[in-house]
Amino acid sequence: MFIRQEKHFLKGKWAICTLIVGILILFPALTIIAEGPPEEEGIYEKYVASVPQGCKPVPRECFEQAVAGKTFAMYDWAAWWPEELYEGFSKTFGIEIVRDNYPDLDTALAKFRLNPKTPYDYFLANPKSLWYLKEDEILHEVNHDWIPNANRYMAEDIKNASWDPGYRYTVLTTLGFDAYVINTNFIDKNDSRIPSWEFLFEGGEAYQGKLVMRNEMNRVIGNALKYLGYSLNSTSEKELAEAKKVLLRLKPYIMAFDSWPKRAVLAQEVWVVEGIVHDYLYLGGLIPEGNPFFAAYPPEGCLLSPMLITIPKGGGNPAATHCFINYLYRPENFAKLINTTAYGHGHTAIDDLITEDVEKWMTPPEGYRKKCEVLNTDSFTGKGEKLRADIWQELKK
Amino acid sequence: MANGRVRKFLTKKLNLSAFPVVGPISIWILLFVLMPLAVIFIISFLGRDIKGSIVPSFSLDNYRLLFSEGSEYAKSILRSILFAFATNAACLIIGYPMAYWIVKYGGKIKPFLLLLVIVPSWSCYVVRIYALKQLIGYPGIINNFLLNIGLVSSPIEILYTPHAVILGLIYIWLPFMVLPIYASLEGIDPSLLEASVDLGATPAERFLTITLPLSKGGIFGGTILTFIPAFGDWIVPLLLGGNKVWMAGTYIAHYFIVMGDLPLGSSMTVFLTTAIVLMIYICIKLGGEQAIERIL
Repeated sequence: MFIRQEKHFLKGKWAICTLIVGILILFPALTIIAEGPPEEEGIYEKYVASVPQGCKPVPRECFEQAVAGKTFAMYDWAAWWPEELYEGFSKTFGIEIVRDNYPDLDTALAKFRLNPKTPYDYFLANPKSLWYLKEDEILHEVNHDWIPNANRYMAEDIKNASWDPGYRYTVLTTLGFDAYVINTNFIDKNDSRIPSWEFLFEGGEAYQGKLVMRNEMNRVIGNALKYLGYSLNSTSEKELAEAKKVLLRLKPYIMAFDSWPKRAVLAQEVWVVEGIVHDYLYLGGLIPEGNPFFAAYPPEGCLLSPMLITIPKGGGNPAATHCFINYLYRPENFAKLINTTAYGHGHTAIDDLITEDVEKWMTPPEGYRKKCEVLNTDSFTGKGEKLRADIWQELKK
Repeated sequence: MANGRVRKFLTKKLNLSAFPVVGPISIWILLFVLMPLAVIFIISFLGRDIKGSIVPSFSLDNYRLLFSEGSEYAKSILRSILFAFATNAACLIIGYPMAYWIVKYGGKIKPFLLLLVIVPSWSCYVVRIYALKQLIGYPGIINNFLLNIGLVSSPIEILYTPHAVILGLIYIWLPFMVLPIYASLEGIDPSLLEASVDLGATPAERFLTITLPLSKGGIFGGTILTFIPAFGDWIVPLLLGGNKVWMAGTYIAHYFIVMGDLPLGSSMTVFLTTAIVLMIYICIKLGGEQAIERIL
């Protein structure tokens, strides 16, 4: 009976109905398969609508190229910037960030020089690595039409900075002052030699060997030159010989050469640290008794260390780097960065968004930046490099 | 006729029948050990331009620079030998009695004791150094203890000194001295010792005439495994020595990474490798086949 009913089902008007319904379903399905998934309409418009007031979106061309690339490969320091910046970028653009970290910039530079096609879209460089990467023609030029927020908010003097003449390959993120920090639990900050370099280079008896110097040849020798009143990029044999004398005199008081002595600083094993002063606001906050650190900005000047976004040619999604730069330069985002790192910067619209504590650590005395210098080729190539390497070896024997 | 000769040459002279066994490892060594070494060797004779790029101009300048008057690298080689020698001697002084005690008195817990020797080397090298840093730093466990019991009035400065470097090297490489010595002591036939007792030998005579000579392979095997890595180490001086005193390995790392001077760094590497090969040769000569067996 059932079988008969089934035959009846297939043979009767139901069969025709089934056929019609089937065709109705099948044709659109085949059309979709042939044409691929429908394009998501309006994602650029949605992105544009999400841009805060006062900021500008990246152009459609940049946006579409970046989104099509799907991933954005970054190469920078670890655990430094606020995570919400990365998360916010991924959410805004729907691009997955793949992060890789370097232990120091020399190692990173060696990686690029051994393989110029190292596949990163973004590399946070310093002036030295920038120079080598430019010479090796490893970098894309920045497309300024794609970063309207950076164009609008970046200070004009930064756009004409010495490290990137013509503002072609880099976008500045932070500016670090390479001076020194004292722990006021052990050092009297009213010592008449503070904040001069004199305290660090001649005050060994005050800190009794509890000094950590950066493990970077150009910075240490450069700051010794600044103490003596010379340019930190000097190639004069006489001036460098004087700097050597100062450093050899200091050597017995140096506990270690360490570029990030976090453990020793937190243990308060170290009383004076030569390095980027901004880093110690964050570390000071981790000490239960409150921040005992005092940032000394020597009146003789110091090394200025800009961190620069560059776009290596080996990466597959340079448009994403432009999207990131434009996103970062939104005032609210840039303020997040500075309120976390306490570094100096060249953003013109975030002064009201910076916290008081960070302001204190970030801001050196009025006009101080003019006394500071950035490393240039004189110090890290040719004769300057050779003379510095000899001093460094003598210091490490 | 000719075919027969070729076959004879391939089978007898080249011993192709062994190729399936030693072939893959030979290819591996050729590609990933000998070829990179050859590249380093060639680069060591070249120069570099202002950008640090290698320039194909053959010269002996790099080697001349290494051994020029007052060369810090030459001094660092001597310093490295001294540190490695101190490490090796301390590992032997600590490791031999340890291995001896485990063999003689370990009894049923021998495997457990051996495990205790091996376990630290299962963890990451850098983690172990940081653990030691916590121990010898100030404030550190040792200093806190000594201060609390009143044995010292101010903390002992161990960390960031050459002593800390040697201590770190001993700590890292000690298991590699204990294990070969243990293996050689374990292999000594007990009947030899029993016979010597029957013949009236004193314990000291037994040790000096039987145990020590028969464990020679273990000692030299352990020496190869501790002296050589200690000689080329640069992580321990960096983390425990505060990077104040450079060893030969530190120089190489500095020239390759910081200075980007591959030719000079390569010449240092060639010299260091030659010195290491020479030391292995001396150890094998003195320790005999047993030294190689113990390493393996």
